[in-house]
Amino acid sequence: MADNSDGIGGNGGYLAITNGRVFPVSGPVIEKGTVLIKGSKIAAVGAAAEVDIPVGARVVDAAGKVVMPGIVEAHCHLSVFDWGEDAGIMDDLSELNDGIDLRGLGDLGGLSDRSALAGGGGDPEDLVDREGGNESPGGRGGAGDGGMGMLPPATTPDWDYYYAFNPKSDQLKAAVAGGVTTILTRPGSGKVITGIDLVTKTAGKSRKDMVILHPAGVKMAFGENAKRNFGSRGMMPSTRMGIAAMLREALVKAQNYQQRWEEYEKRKAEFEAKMAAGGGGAPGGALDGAPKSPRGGADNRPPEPPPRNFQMEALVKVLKRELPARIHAHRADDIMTVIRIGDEFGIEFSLEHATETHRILDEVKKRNIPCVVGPTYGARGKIETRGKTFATPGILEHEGIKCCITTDASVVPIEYLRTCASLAYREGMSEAGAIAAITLWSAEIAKVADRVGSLDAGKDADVVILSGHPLQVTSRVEKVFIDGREVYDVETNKEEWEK
Amino acid sequence: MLAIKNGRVLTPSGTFLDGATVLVDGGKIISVTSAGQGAAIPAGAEVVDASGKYVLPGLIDASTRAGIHEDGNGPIGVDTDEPSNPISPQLRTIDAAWHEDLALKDALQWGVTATMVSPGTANIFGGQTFVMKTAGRTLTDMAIKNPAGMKVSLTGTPRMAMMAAMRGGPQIQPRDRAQDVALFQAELQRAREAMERQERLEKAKAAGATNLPEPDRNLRTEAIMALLRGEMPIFVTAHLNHDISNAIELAREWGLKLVLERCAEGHLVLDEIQESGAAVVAGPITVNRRSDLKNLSLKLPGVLARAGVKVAISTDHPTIPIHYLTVQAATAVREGMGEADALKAITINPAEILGVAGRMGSLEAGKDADVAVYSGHPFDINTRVELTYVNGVKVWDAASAWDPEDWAVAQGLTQPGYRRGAK
Repeated sequence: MADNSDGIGGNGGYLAITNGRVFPVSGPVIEKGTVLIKGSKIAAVGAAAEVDIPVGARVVDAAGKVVMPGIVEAHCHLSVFDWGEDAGIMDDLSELNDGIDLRGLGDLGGLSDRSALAGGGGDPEDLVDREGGNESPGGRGGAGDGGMGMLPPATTPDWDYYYAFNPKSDQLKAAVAGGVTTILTRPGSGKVITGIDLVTKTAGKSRKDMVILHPAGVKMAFGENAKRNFGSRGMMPSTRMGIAAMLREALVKAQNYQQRWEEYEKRKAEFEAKMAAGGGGAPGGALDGAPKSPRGGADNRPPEPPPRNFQMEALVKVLKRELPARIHAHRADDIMTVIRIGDEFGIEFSLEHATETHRILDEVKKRNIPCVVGPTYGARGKIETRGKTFATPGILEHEGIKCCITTDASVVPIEYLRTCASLAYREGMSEAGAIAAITLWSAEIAKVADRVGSLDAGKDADVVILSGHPLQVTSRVEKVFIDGREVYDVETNKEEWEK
Repeated sequence: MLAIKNGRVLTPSGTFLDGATVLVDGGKIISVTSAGQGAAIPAGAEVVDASGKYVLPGLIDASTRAGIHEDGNGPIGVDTDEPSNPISPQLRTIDAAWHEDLALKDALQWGVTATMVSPGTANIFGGQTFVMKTAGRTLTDMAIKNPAGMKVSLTGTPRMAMMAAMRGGPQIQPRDRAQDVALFQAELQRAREAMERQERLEKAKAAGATNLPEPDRNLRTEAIMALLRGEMPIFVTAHLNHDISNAIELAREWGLKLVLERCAEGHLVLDEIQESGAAVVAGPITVNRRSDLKNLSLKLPGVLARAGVKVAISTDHPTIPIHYLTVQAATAVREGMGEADALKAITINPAEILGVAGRMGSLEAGKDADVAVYSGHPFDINTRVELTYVNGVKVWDAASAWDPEDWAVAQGLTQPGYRRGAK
């Protein structure tokens, strides 16, 4: 085993993990099974007799051990926020750092975000209410706001945490040592809309190689955190109704924005059809110095596209169901508010934390809302977490609601994700369910199950070898492979004093 | 099927019908019959013998912050005001309310089965209210009417709130009463102009204009438009006499449906209130008299009722906890309000003011079976609510509830029966 410890990924070689008790998660346990890896992918999984091991393959004997897929954490803040760093370095994790956007301070309260009130006249502009531009009295606005103004500071859908992700962070080493090979990492919950999530492997050569899904969702948050952060500064939101109103307002603005683009596409198509039909002179008319009409189409000038707004673009993806909203909510009342708004705008969303979902099962079940449950390990730090219990995942499983278990790392350290699953098993979840809730189901909820979450031919070769049953707290992680590369070995990953 | 028989049943006119029987099925009241009419109680019905007891419709507190000012949860449980902007009509209290607020359980134990949840008074336009039952599993089940109205505050609170918010916040704030009114009117004018543009657009479309862009949606403007169209009333909190007059004159000028709230100096402008036709949600009356309440009188609800004003009595929970609604009403009776008027002021009148009288506010066939059985007269301070039903479901039963006296007796801390009126 000393050879090739930096893995076989990229050299096209084979690696066979043999004789282990294999938990594929997608199927029944295989006693003395073989997991065959070719390069960075799983080539075959089966009983010893079913899987041929090519000559020259590196063989890892897992006799007496357990082999399972790399663990998947569907909600954490690893490596986008450096715990322990000072405020100048760290990125957002809103419980500690509000990440408040100062760009929008001129827009507080929205008195400024109203249409210019000029009336009369025959221009169709006067017939409709349109968001004011840079001349609005609040004085905000600028590049990238598409003339609509920036959203207030508690709503930053354009903050993309891909750019905050540090692939070299020590936090990822703890994840690997805990057998966690894929994470959905994201901004915190200190704002109503905090930003864009990403899904990444926990080890790899570069950020580009590691990140497997981006954008992975837009993080939003209900309940106490945003209230506390902004309310204490005399800013909105200071109440739950303020949170709901701000999210609605942002989504309505995005609908307005979407409508402008749809109108533009329509006019453009009409204009192009007209040009193609040879109608109305040269298309170069816009260059003659005449004032440009944003409407276009009515004459020989091509219609101008509306200005782009990156905040709106992220939310339009949510409205079109191209991107899920991932919404922090603990208490049943907050979850019901999320559900009302979700129904109102027809968006796809997951419930993050989902602490009291067991109290409104029917509402969650009939809408088929995935639930990311946790962090349950640890104290009840806030009033909104009073209802938390490790029974929740088992209840959700029993009702057929898609769920997974989260540490919310670093709220609970990432290496205890498996311990959380063990405790959920203890409180009533099935054995298979508790294992799936940190592998296949979390991969499905994070929308990366085509690549990770189970041991199946064709998936990424993310494999963990454990000393015993996955749900035994005493079982330790002995080896971890990511994309076919061995990234952890309990024997060689010792501190000097341990040797 | 549930039959509550032989009770003294409150009628919609505020009087009691002796030996009457209330029949309930499918969450609704089937009939209310007096002894003489001899109600046939179907076999198999659950029978509650209310002999010697009083049977009332679930009480309604016309305007509180129950559910949005969570009892016992400290500052983080307060969801009543967004002081960052004095004009916040887009806010909705249903998004803030917590269906498990302890205050709602207190309410059930005292027979209060519905309330309108209003934002606080920190904003001139504070947001949209909703009416809910005090029992239920989720707000979606509990909400009866949403939105039910718009909260408007013509008090000193927005000015104080903005002063406080100024420390970390915006440079906009109302500084005096005249500015309050200016901000209020500017918002209405904006919405009126938007409505006019919308009408012009519809006309242009009808005339065959094509390629007209659709207007942007704006939730603030939409909420104000609903007021201008008379789709919901404004509930205006006003204490001083000139604030009350301002509310009446502004509502008239802008064609708004008006309900006045609190009205500490209502008796000083009684004629104007009477003439306006506005209903009044009066009270709470048993409060400390801070500056703008210095002229508040315990006689206020009675004076309004005698003048023919439709009046509801309210606790403004948490100013006075919601379950002391009957204590407010009884105090008003002590100070001269007619008993029937006081009973109507916590049942049918708030139902009518909130526009939910088709479902609640009195014990009449077809209405929701929100009923409570009282051990004695509801205004007797020794009276306890023994049973409370919401939608025909028993939500409070004093007999099976945990009883601190039983516990104290069991602990050897006291002798049984020390509490007057109990068991």
